[in-house]
Amino acid sequence: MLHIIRAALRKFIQLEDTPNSYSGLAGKLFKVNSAETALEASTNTDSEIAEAVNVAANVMEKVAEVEVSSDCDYVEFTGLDGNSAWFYILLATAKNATSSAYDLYLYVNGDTDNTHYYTQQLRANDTSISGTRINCPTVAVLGENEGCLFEVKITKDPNDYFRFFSNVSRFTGSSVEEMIRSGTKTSTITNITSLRIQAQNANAIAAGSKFILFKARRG
Amino acid sequence: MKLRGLQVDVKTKEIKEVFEEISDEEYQKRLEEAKKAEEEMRIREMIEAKKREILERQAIQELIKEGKLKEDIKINY
Repeated sequence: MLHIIRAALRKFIQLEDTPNSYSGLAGKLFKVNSAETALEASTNTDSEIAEAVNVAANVMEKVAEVEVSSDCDYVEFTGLDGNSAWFYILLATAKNATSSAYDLYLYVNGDTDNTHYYTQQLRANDTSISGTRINCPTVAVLGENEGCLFEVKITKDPNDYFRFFSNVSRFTGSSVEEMIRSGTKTSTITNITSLRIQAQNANAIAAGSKFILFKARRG
Repeated sequence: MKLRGLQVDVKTKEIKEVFEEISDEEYQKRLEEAKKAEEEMRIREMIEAKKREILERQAIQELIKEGKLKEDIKINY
């Protein structure tokens, strides 16, 4: 009896829950169908899947995103590993919830003492360009009730110093301004484990502000 | 003074509201430092703008003297 069954089912395609033919399936993988009742061929070939995996390994990965739902003082990303990621990139669009201009600071590893940071900035307002160095980690300045767009590139350099540079677009219409900043910490760090964007004024990061953090390398 | 923050744990993707207590003195100190820095920046920018205006005016006068610009030239600062 068994030898009769073996003789009848010598091929995979002879089974009831598999394809009836290999035609057109070169390089395809088999997977369980969505009903979980049979095997079916994948849409992509094994080499296409491998290529997609390779591409994914070489693009930046979104670490987290936050949209502020009600006005707050700061947004903090924890559980980071800068030694593995090498570089972080923060994209942000923020709104000032107050009627006073204020700075947005970038703190690392919970160190919120402004005197532990220095920032050099260049500000371009029409043909007027000015520069200044300040004793705090300012990444953006928001005018009264204004919105702005900024990006910050962040790393721990080979000498173990926390470094960042930011690029900001602020004000609107014919008043649009560009601000570039380069900042560092006064002492070394061993890793980047948390990053905090904090407003200088109380409760000043308005609802609707958005932050997305990317890491440049998959560890 | 209570600071209200949004904390995102990038491992669990959990976002939670957190509060951090800082003393009123510390908050005032931070505000004063920030105001001082802002005022310094405002003064620096004002000085830079004036320097540029003076230099441009002198440059125009020199160019007029050299006959390279007409006297009725108007430049907006």
